[in-house]
Amino acid sequence: MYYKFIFSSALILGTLISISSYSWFSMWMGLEVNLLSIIPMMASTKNMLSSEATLKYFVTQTMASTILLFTVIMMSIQLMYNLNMNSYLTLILNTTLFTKMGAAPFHFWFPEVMEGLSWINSLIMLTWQKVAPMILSMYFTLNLMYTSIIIIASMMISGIMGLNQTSLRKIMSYSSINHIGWMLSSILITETIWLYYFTIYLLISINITMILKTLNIFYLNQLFMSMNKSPLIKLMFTLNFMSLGGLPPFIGFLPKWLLIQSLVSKTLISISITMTLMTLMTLYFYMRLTFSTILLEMNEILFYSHPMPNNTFVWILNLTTIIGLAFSTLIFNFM
Amino acid sequence: MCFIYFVVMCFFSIVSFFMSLNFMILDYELMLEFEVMSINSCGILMTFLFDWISLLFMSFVLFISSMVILYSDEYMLGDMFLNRFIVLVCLFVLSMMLLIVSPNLISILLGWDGLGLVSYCLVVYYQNIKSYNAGMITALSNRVGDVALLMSIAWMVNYGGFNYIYYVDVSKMDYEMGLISWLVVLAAMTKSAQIPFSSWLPAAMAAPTPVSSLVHSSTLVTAGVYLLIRFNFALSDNLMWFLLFVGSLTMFMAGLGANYEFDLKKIIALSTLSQLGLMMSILALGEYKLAYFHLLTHALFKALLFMCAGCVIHNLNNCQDIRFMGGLVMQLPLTCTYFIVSNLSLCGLPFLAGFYSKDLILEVLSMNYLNLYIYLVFFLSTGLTVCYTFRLIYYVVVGDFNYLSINMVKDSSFIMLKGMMGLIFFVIMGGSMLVWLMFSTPYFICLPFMMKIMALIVSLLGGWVGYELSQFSLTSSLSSLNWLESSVFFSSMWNMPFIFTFGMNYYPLILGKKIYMMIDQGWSEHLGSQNIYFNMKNSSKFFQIMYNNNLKIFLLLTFLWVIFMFLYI
Repeated sequence: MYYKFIFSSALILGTLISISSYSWFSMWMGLEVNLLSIIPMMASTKNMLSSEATLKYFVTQTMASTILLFTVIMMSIQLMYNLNMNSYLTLILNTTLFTKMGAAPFHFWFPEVMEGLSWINSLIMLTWQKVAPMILSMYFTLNLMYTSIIIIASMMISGIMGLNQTSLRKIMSYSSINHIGWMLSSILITETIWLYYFTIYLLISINITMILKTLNIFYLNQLFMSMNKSPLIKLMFTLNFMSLGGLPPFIGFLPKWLLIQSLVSKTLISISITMTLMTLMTLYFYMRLTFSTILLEMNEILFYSHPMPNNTFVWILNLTTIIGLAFSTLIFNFM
Repeated sequence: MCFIYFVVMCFFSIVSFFMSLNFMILDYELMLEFEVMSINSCGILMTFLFDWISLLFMSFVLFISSMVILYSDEYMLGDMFLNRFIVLVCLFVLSMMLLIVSPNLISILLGWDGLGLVSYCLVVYYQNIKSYNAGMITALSNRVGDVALLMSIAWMVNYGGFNYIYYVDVSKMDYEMGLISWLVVLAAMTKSAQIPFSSWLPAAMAAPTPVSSLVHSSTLVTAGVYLLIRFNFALSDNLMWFLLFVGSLTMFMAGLGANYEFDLKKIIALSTLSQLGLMMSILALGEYKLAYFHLLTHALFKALLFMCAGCVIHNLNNCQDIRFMGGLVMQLPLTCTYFIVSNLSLCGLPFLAGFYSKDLILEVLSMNYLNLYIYLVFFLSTGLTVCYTFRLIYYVVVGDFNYLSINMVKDSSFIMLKGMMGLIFFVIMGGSMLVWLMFSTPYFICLPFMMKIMALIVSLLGGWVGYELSQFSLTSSLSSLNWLESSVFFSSMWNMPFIFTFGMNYYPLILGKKIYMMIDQGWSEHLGSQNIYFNMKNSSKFFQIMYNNNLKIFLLLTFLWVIFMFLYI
């Protein structure tokens, strides 16, 4: 098991190399280190699907990295002649990074890969693996039109496809695509908000995946009676999903609020309206997911083997994501 | 608890009676007024007006309610919520007091709404569907009047104050006062159950009998008449004619309807309605003092009548159908005596309470210069009163005993008898007492002989007809069944429920159903949520096809897209 420590530190290291590099080449290198260190962590002998998922992830990311490298080389050739960054090469660069993070028209690998992962790996895939591509896409100008199309596509695809899923990992991956849309729009205008958004998304994702991991839930039908031992966990689970969907009294609303505010102030009104409306669909399937947990009949099974998540860390995180909005102004004082 | 309230109310009744005598002799009025606030030079005041009218009415209300509370101690014996009942009755009395003493529309509204609320609570006291329906009819009908009163309050802002008593006689010709008086008449019509709104009064008989005795016969329903007595000087000629028409129609139709009813309480309720119509119509002739006089005497004998009916119902184990009664004079001699006395007082047998007011009303009417319609309606209604009274006496008091073989009918409920005993004195003496007190100058009546004895003739005729038509034995067929269709027509007060209840509800209900079907369950579902759901579901199903392809195609497409961008952009 010790290899996991090595690979996880290499994973983090790769991302950090990538986002703090001065040259395109070391940036690419950091991405490759990140990829190569997550591959051994994803592979598991206990799960048949994991090797398939690993392979899919590897192929996709490698292809994206290759095109990235290719584009970088092309760009360095072209830069000798003119310094126009806003050319087709930018679009290709964007494409590769969108493929790496799994934004909508390039997202086909994402649910497939997620389906073969354990919850911890899913959490890494949902959150940490997005850091490098997103921060990299901040480093060069995003094409507004292209990115808007990507954002709207992410919103629509995540909303529509999420309706039809029964696997919680797929639902989480579509929800992640939805959040990618929001985060891309924040990258487009205000990069500080991206930080808030990502942090809060990370917190909520940790909460949800921790609960699901402890209870060993992977599919929707496992939710019905899984949390009847502890109504408080049930409530936390429900409220976390509402926070994830961005309902006002929870902290998930805060970054969306900031983002909509700044989008409107930059007169990107139509895109903010589209995003808000499309998020309703994701909110719908979150609600449907939690309704089965909280509203259906309450039976307690006597011999129930799974321990309920019950440590201080879980409670603090949950409280942060649920009542954090009230304290957000306090936090802003120290920032 | 009952006894305490009985003593307190009796005491205050006596006090206010003597005060009213004092005020009457001195011709004195006392007005207490304190200002709550003032908005835009329009003062919101709480005003109490004490003159002999309000004090006398207060003393009568308190007296009757004290008797009724004493009575209900036994009538409601063993009831789980007796205390609530008594408190409700006391609240009723309180809001009635507020209504009586206030010459201010806002403070009247307090009492008025209090009456509506308390009477609703009392009607639904027995918690069953019938009571709920009756209570809802009562509350909603009275709500119309409340709204009219509120609107008249809004119009009163024109005068910079709500003390109508200052304005009624000086501003008779005002446009605003015309509007206000129409609205006030509308309010009074709902409270006094005049024709379009009269269906609630028979329905309100779902309340316990003491409540019917106090609330729905003698006091609450006269609140409208009382308000109009106060407002009398402001009513314009057209309004008077309208009121006369409505009042006389109510009187006639209710009297006719009472002849076809078989529910003991409903007969008395319809009789109340008829008497209210009488009060309204004599008020509309400008004789507000006579209306007030009849209001008081009617309160006395009608309260007693209801208490007797309650005694009968109590003894007959909550049976209200008069066809099961009969021959009760053998079992309930004292109750039946009271019953007959108050009934005869209602008919206007000379020297009982009702005689003084009714005879005076009819003679003043005959003295007036009026058309034949009014004359006929008044005298026919008088005849009808005697008719249904004799029918009632025939069914209840005399004849064969028609109740179950196993019964326990006897005059042993002494507390109830005491309560009735307190009233019987006033039923006999009250009329003469009041006529001596109120009319210090007697009315001058000068009539031809036939017109003078016309009241007597129609009464005797009515009594005879009532006795003949209600023959109830094995050998004779029931005469109301011989003309079944006209019986149905008259007993429903000339199709009033169909016109004013179903007629009002029919099209809105149909429209509501249509809108519910077309919009709520139709187009708004089709264009709204269901269609969105359908589209999203279908597109989700469609996009799912793409996920059936393997990763090769996805990679290929990405490559193609990149190549496309290299080549063409």
